[in-house]
Amino acid sequence: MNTQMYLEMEHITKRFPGVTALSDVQFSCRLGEVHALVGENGAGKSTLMNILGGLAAPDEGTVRIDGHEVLIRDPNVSFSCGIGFVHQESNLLTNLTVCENIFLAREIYSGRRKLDQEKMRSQVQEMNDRLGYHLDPDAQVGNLKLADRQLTEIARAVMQNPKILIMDEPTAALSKQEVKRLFQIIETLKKSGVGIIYISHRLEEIIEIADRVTVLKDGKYVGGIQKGDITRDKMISMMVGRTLKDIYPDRRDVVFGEEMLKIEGLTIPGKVQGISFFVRAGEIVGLGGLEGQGQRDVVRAVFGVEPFSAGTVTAAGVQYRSGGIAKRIRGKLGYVTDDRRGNGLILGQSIRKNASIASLKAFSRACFIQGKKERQAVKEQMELLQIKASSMEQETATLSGGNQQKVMLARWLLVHPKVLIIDEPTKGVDVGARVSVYQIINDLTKVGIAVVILTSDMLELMGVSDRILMFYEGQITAEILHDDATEERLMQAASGVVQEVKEHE
Amino acid sequence: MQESDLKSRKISQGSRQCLILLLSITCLFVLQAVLRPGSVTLAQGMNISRQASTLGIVVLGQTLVILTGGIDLSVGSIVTITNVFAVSYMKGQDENFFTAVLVCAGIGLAAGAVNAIGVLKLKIAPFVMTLCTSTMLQGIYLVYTGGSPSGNVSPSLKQIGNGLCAGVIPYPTLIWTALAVLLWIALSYTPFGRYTYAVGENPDAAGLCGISVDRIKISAYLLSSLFAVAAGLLASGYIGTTSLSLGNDYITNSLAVVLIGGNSIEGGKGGVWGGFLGAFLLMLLFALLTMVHVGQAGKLVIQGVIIFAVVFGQRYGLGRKG
Amino acid sequence: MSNIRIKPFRNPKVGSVAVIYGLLLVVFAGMAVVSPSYRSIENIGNIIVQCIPLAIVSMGQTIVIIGGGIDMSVGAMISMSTCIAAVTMSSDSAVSVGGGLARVLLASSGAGLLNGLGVNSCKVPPLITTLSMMTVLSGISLAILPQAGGRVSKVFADFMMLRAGVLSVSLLILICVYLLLRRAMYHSGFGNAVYAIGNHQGIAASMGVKVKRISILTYVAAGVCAGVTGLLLASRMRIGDPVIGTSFGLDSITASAIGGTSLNGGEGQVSGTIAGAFLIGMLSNMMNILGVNHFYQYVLKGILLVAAMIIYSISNTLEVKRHAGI
Repeated sequence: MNTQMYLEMEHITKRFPGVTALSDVQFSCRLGEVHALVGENGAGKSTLMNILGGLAAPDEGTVRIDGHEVLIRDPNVSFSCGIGFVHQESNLLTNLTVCENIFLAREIYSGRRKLDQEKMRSQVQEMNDRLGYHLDPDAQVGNLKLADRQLTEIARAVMQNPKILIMDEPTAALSKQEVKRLFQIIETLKKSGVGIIYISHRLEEIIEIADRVTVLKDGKYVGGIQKGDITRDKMISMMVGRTLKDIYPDRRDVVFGEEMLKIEGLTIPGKVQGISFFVRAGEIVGLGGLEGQGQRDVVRAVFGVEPFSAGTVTAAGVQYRSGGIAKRIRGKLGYVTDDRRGNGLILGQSIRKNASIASLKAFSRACFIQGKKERQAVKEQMELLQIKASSMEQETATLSGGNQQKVMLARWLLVHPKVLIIDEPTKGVDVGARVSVYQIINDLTKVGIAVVILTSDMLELMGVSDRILMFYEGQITAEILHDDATEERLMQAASGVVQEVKEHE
Repeated sequence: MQESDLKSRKISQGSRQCLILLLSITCLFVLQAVLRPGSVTLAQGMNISRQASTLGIVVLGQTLVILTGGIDLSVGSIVTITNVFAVSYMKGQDENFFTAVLVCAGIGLAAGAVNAIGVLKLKIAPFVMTLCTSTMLQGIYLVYTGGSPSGNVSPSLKQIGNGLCAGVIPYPTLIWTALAVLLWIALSYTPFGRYTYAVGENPDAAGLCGISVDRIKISAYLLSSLFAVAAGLLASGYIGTTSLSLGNDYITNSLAVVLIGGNSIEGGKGGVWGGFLGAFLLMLLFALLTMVHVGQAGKLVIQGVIIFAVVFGQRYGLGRKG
Repeated sequence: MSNIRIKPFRNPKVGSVAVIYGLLLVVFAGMAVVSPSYRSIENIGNIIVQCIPLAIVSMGQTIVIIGGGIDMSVGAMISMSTCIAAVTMSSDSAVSVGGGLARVLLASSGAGLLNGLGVNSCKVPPLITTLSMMTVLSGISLAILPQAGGRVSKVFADFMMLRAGVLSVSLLILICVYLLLRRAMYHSGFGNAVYAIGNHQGIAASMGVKVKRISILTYVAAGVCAGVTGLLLASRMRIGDPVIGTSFGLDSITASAIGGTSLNGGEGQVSGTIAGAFLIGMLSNMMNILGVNHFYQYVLKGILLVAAMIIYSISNTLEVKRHAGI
């Protein structure tokens, strides 16, 4: 292994409207080493890698490849610098074959400007042998399972003999066996002199595979850990800064009421199997687990967005069948989605219109909207939630993430829900507004609303929830009370270790 | 502060477009007065508004469909088929007036329903589906008339199409204005209006708020067809007889006007009055062009360029702000 | 998790093309049973010549659609081409014919280039850009020839309309265009790129595909195909007609859809489109033979398109379900 750095990034700063994604960050990588990059959601890992991949340009700082300063303007430049990228979400064309994807924009031609199919196929075969797996060059990528799509992306990247290979959350959708196979491939690449940048939140894997770890937090470089010193505790302590007590409201005095939401035997074919749980009035139940383990599907089925094939959903005394969002809203069930810019807010419209949209019937009489009533109600919400804006007519697209989230909350509060599901309550929300959001949720429970929270932020899950349900591969693997929750127990449950599910009185 | 700047700009964007249109209309009148002194009179203006009314009514329907994120390319054929069946049932008499109107309305509703089913249930792209419907309607009226239609409308329809209310305002203009006001009230002051804008800008979000996206879109297509029928009836009244090319220019014209009126082709943005003024502006422009002897060819080229330029301008404007 | 299904055809694309040609064969055989004219070589040759113009312009449309766009202006391009031909190719001299040919192809490919630029550089949606172009070109056609008329060089027209039984110069041209397009689409990086941008522009761009350039080229291809079609029609009519191409716009889209091209982009085969065009082209002929009012062909065309969309959407849903393991 070379001791010289092939890649050096120094004083990297990147700003987006409203937030500084990276601030004076440093990062480097040698050929033949595996350098892991860790940090919470929003720490800046993706942004840093996007800069390397040519999808973003730093506002300040330098990037040096093999000693030379470079400006990576677009993916092609990145590629010519010897950087390969294997993305978190499969970045392939589903309507083309494996071979076509691997060689897209880099096709091999035989003499007369005609594609040399033979040569390309044989190169795919060589790759198969070299890395020890079996990709069918003529298989359509759209028909492949995620693990194989990832292999295709790896093959495409490796085919160009990169010096640096970036792997973004490579094991997110892999089974244990597939992870093992991936690690073997990484070893092979390492031995052949490729430097690997490994981004992951699965700390166990990092301990197994990394030579070095860099920790980012809130867009800043926190520090590095050398092999031999890499432990989970050390990584976590560097990733987290705040003690739990600071930002999460104290809920020791909260009293729970009767059952407000009851799910029994909920089944969605291919996604979840036999899910059962309940939520009481004034209680906050958190659903956690790694991405795509079924939590979101459950929540969407409960609200009627996705159909379910078996089981019952009962909210505030009313039983619901598959589908029927309007019915659920009438039944006082609310849902704040995780994607407020995509399917939450109507960005081109004002705060007022966004806030009242789900409860217009309450403000209408004989088919006409009563403007005065509407404005009054929205005004109250804006004060209650402390939404900072020039007026209720301000376009929501121009609000900060935190204020946008509050407008979403305002919308659902105007429905006067008895059960409220909040998906990713603080995604893209800065720290200051986060505290505010937690307070709001706490206040909701004081008036008897039953709250379900979904979050991929482990610490938030532990801080906010009275009770935590961990999901793995479509089933609940653990039910953990607030006082018994540790990151260790949550991570274990998230990785499939089934723990005792509490009995309730 | 920057944010309040944005706010005040945003509020008047719709009215700003109307102001631009009013300004353009004034400029054209001025130009007309210069080119043909003495030709700018109230009567002439009213006449233009009569010409614009049938287009304007179709534009109302098209505006609604485009607001919800769709497009209706069947309006031209609906106008023509309305004319064919109106003439056929009226046979130049007043007795069958209401039967004829009902028949035409029925056909319009059927067309709108076909559009809606195709777009919503069969998930066919709106422009394809409505083009399909347009072709099928064309086939139907061609078969029905054998290619050579004949007949006249009821005298009362002719009166409505050509007459003046109180000796000044053409009936079609009155009807157009009334319909515009109704639609404007619906869009601005009812839940239906709010839902329409929501569905157009972000159908996923709208669905999650309990809004029946399908119902809003179906209403839009049905109303668009009905408006086209109304326009067809008025147009038939105006010419008094039948013509297979009656609906010819409505597709491109209505699209051009909706876009000139400040509506976004993707939906969710715009309103009634932009299209209202836009229809008048377009007709005034065409009248002017005819006055200076610009032929059909020139008119078509100008139309095409306008459509492109307006959408391009919208994009460019948005890009600069954001 | 689900395994890779073994498909009956190694290349899924081959399957859908086989289906459409099968359908074409069935229809043809059916007509041959019903009517003697479908059994005469002379008439079959006639039918082929009738269908070829639509087939050529539809192939260009297919490429645009696969690339994720749409071209509503091909009909007007055809009209304009016939008008240019009738006005500039009037005499039989080589200069006149050569010059006229060049002008037609230049004009139609130029219009295609403008379409491509409008969509890619001005970022105006394909529907609006090509609709505007359609209107502008209609106007230009009328300016060139206010009414059907002019004269197309007799020598040129006679040559283009040469026939011998089933074979003809038109058929030759169709085959040449098809082979050219096939080379471009299936034996070069251009083709992969077109399918890529039709599937997902963002991903294609991040993989290094020059999206703008490829997309513009698809519109130019459509323009060239429209120009060739216009020349064929001008040769058949021997004059120019400013509105002759009007129906080709929707028909070329219908032919593509029936031939298996998805209107969302990323899927489709140029060979399937030819079959689709022939099916549509035969409609009018079939109406006549079956003694049905030929205006019904319009209704049928609309129904055909809707049917194709339904079938396509159903088979798509089945595919998705199959691979999700349901």
